[in-house]
Amino acid sequence: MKPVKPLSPAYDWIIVGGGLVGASIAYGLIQKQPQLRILVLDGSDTDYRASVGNFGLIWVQGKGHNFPAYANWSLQGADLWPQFAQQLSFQSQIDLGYQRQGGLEFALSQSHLDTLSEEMAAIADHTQGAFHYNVLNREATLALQPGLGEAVVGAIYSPQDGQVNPLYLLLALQKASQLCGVDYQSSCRVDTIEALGHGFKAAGFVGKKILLCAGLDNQRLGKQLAMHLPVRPVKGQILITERTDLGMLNYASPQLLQTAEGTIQVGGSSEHLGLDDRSSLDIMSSIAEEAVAVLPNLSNLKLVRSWGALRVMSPDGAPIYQQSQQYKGAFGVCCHSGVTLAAAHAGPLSNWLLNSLNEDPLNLIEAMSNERFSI
Amino acid sequence: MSDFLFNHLLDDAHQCPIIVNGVACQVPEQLNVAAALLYLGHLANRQHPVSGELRGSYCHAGFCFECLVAIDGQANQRACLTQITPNMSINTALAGVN
Amino acid sequence: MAQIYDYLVIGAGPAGMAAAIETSNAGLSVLVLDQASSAGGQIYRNLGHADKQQTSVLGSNYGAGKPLLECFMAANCDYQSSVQVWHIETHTKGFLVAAIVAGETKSFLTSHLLLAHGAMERPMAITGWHKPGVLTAGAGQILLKSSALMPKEVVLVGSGPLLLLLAQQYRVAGVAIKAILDTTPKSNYWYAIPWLVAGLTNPMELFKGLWLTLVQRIKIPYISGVSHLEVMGDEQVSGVKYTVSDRVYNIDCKLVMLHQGIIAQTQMAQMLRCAMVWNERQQCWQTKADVMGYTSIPGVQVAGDGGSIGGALLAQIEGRVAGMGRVFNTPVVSPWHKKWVYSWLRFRVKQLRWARGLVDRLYRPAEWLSKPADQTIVCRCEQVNAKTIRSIVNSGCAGVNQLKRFTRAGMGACQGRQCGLNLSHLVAQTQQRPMAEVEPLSVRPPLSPINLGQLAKSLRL
Repeated sequence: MKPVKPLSPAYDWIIVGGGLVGASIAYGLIQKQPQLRILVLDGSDTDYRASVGNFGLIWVQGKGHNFPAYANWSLQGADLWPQFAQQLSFQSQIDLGYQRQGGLEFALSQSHLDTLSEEMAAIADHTQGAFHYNVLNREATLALQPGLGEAVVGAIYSPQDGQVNPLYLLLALQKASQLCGVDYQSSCRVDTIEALGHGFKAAGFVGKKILLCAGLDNQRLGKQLAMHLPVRPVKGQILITERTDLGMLNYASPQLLQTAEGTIQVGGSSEHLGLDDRSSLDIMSSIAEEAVAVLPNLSNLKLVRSWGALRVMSPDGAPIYQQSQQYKGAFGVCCHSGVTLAAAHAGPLSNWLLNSLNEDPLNLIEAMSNERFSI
Repeated sequence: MSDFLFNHLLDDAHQCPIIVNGVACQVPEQLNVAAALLYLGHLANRQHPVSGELRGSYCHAGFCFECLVAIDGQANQRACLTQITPNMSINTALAGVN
Repeated sequence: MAQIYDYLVIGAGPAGMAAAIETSNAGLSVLVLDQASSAGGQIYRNLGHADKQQTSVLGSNYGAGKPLLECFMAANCDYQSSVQVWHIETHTKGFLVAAIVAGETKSFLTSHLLLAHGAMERPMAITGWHKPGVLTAGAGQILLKSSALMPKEVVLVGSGPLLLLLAQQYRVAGVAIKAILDTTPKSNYWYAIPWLVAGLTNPMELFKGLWLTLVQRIKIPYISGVSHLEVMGDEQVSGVKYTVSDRVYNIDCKLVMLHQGIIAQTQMAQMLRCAMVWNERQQCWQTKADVMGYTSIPGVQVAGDGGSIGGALLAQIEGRVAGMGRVFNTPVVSPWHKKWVYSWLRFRVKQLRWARGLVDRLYRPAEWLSKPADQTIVCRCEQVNAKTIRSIVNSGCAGVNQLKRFTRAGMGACQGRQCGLNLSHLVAQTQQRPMAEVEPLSVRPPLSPINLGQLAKSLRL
């Protein structure tokens, strides 16, 4: 029997999935080591893509109140954003619409406001006071956002929240990475991954290392690489209005967000309906109802389009950063906050993947492995 | 304001009073708002939100959304899908534009 | 508990009216929802209220719709006009149709749905097509039918029977047609010859078409083989530039009407996630449907030009066939002769669709039209030109949906109706893939803009 010559890996890294997670990491890796040969394999035009349903918030408040590592990681990520945005905009020549103007989460009942306050206190505690926030009563909220409806009792304000255009972010990451030499292959679904000993083979390409950023498909692909990546789909619906005068909304909010074009995004929902991303009347109606309760002036604005997408949700909502124990060189990343964590993914996480841990002194990344799901 | 580029086919059509950009006019009663604007010589009815260029009606069937005007105080209505009514107030977004 | 209709028909054109008559006569509870203020669809628009003067200008084909219209108005079905259907979703009882009726939101339930909403003009993206003073030939017809309005002077540009029909109607009405700039490529005439056989199975229509063409060529300045059109003017149209046999010409005018045939509207079917198929002969996406009009989604049918393009007579027959199909699906026992009628109608549908092949081939849009010049605005709503689109596709876009996200093309008010097809052409050309392999723009509610306030109050069943 003739010995079969192993295919020499064409790439140092194959990244499966070209959404915000895959694109941020591809960008981060090539910035750190420009000589790396990186290939991003992206799916087809109509695949489920969490990235396209993203609201565009760079959101710290509320993240990780039950999970200190995640709280710190989110805050760290948000703090890395300004420099990340500047560099990426410059390289890609694309305006990301990035702002760190602060965020408001409106509460429509006192009990809701109380719950939010407790969560924020926990996050401040986890971050040793690095997370800043204010619990605002109705009067104070009105001072920041005039025109609020009677149902609004108050809000949580954090100066550390912001927003970006998530679609242009993805475009910019793709463009900048390509300019630096990253290869992109679209319409390239990965069915099976073969471990070759010296590398991995996926969709006919061979790479020394492989990184799974395929969103909901990570679970299936992870099994092939002996990684347990438990994610399930959680649907979120968004409404988008016609363009209106800029300056209607001065702060970012998960309930209402004004884009640079002047349209207003209204969200959202959390539905557990499996692989169903359709818009539904009952949810759209209740989203509209809440929006109009928060800001009655929105009542006359026309809804121009709606969206539904499937979040990539881990059991506790925090990201999963995992190395395969059995297959050295195989990694998996799952997260539903691809925007907030984009800078962290391009920064410390890319370093971790390249095996230089000096940017993760608190061992946050290790704390977000799948081991936390073992009983 | 453009030239009058359209004629009405019927000789003795009943007229209906409407108000366009604050000016009282009379137009044949069976017209919809988009047709009324063309009849009165308004070829353009808005400024494009991205380019600022003038835009006018195009398809008259509700598909293109170019014919948007304010009708009785409600902004961004499709003129081609709205029949005129007596004393209807129509405002193109060009009231201040020459 | 809200009423659950046996049959909900969207569109009161020939297909919708015929289907409603057929099913209500069989005793089903039927609701027809239509966008216009009176029944007739586009072809018979305003037929119920048209003046004698209008009818004489519009021609015999227009008046021929009267019997159908009268039968529909007398039928035992519910009918609501001036309705904007903005959302359809599946429901335990079948389907929920959300609409705006007289400024209020209303929801309707039905076990079976017929999409008979017809076609729309093929977007003809030439440089300058977005300037004030450029309308479609369809708009010209609508103005004539609904408002009895006609231009004083106009240049007609494009290709297709509707353009010639409009020219005929305008001539009778006394409009000064400065010219017809016909973009039909000369090669189309050669390729259409084999289809003459098909056309001959419909001799009256063939003869009428030939006569119409001949008359316009004689009576109006008629320039054929036109390409590389550009509409000139700053704030409004001042003229049209065009090329014939490598020579460039100019014609001054203030009003231009464009036409490149019609394409099926597919928003509702796409929103329901019906399987779509690229129709190479008609150069547009269409809802995949069987001979009774049933789509890939159980309980959803299409009929008329909203399914595949075939004209008023075919639409009427398809509507009737769809209605019969709906009745056959009920416990109502159909009289024996109905099955014979049904077989005959099925045959007629096949025959007329085949005959249509002549028109489809003869007036297939010239290739250069799907390759807009760099400076041509392809997405009117968001002002995105062909150059931007090509460069984004070249940098590795998976397809037209990703293209939309990266450029905003297709995100504006019309939600891709005026640009979707051309965006797909650009993706297909740049990626060197056939159109059949390029997915169309995905469709989401609302199909028609709705106020947040109205949405907040929309009835939930």
